[in-house]
Amino acid sequence: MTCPAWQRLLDDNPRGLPAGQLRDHVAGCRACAGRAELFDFNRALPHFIPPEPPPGLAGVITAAVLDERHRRHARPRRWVPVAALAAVAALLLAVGLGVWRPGPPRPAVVRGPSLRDTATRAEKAGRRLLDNTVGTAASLLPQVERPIMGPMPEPALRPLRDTADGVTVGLAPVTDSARRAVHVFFRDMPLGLKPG
Amino acid sequence: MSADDATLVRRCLRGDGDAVAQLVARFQGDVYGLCVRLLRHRHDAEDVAQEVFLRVFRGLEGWDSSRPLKPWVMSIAVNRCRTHLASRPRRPELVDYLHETVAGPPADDSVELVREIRAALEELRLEYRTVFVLFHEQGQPYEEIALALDRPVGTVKTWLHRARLELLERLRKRGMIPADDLAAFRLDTRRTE
Repeated sequence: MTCPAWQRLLDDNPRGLPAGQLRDHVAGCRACAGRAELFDFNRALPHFIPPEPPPGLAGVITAAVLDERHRRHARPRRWVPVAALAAVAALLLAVGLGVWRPGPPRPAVVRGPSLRDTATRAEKAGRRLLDNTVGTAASLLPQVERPIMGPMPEPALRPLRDTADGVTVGLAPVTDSARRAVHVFFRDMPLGLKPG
Repeated sequence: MSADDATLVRRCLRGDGDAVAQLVARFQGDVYGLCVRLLRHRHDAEDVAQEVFLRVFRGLEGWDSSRPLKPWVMSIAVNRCRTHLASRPRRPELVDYLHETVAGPPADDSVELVREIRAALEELRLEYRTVFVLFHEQGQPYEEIALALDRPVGTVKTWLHRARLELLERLRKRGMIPADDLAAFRLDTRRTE
């Protein structure tokens, strides 16, 4: 049985070799010579017949398969209402417990003062600033001392009005900046809040 | 995989009862035959065969349609038999070989011989017995047996070789080689020379 040639012959003929072929092999094979069990084995192989299933087995199996399939398909339908009820209950519970909340409230729009008021207020502030500045400058003028380094030509005395005008011109960049800031503020206001 | 298999499976999956019956009829012989050989009990074989087909149809959607159907079915059968053998209590075997072994009228003592070989077969390891039955009894090719057992073809060949060796060894121990057969064989050999 250990002869590889005979193994190969059996592999090619699972139901056994023709007797003549086996006899030829044994006659020419030193390893198999004298081994009668090869003949017995080969003679038995064709008689290995698979057992026949009992009549009706296929019908029983088919019925069992179809029955199980029917039950499997029917089962989910019974659970649909239960699952739907469970889902609704869970949703209600979640709402009740406050699990579900609306999003954060949008900030309320605060209406600012009207453009006219703002402009009036800005104008008043500008005048106040101007008056203060001019007044301070005017009070400081008499205290300006003569320079230490030698005599200087006596400047011609200018009327107070001219001096105030000069200060006004000097402060023009400041007031302009304030005005521009007010313009920028109004430009960036939301459309609904812009005047006129 | 044959297109026939794929078509049959598609019809089964669509719920076609005729296709289910057809698939069962196509494989019941092999499945039942293997169950009888491995379980050595006809009623158990019927139960396990039914269980095998239930599992086949449960898993039909997961069947890889690029592979042949029969080895897949047989692999389920082998696994179910293993599980059944592992779980059942030991009890006397009830298989009656005499009415199942010979197709036609035996010309000689082949009935006795086949019965002896079957008895020897039952003493083999489950793997050896499985490959022997699938190969010699059901005539399945090595490749399909390898797929069914999820083992390389080389392993299947080795198991089959060892199964034959052990069978012959057991036959020898049982005295199944009559002296006159041996003498006749020697005469035949001389004649051919």
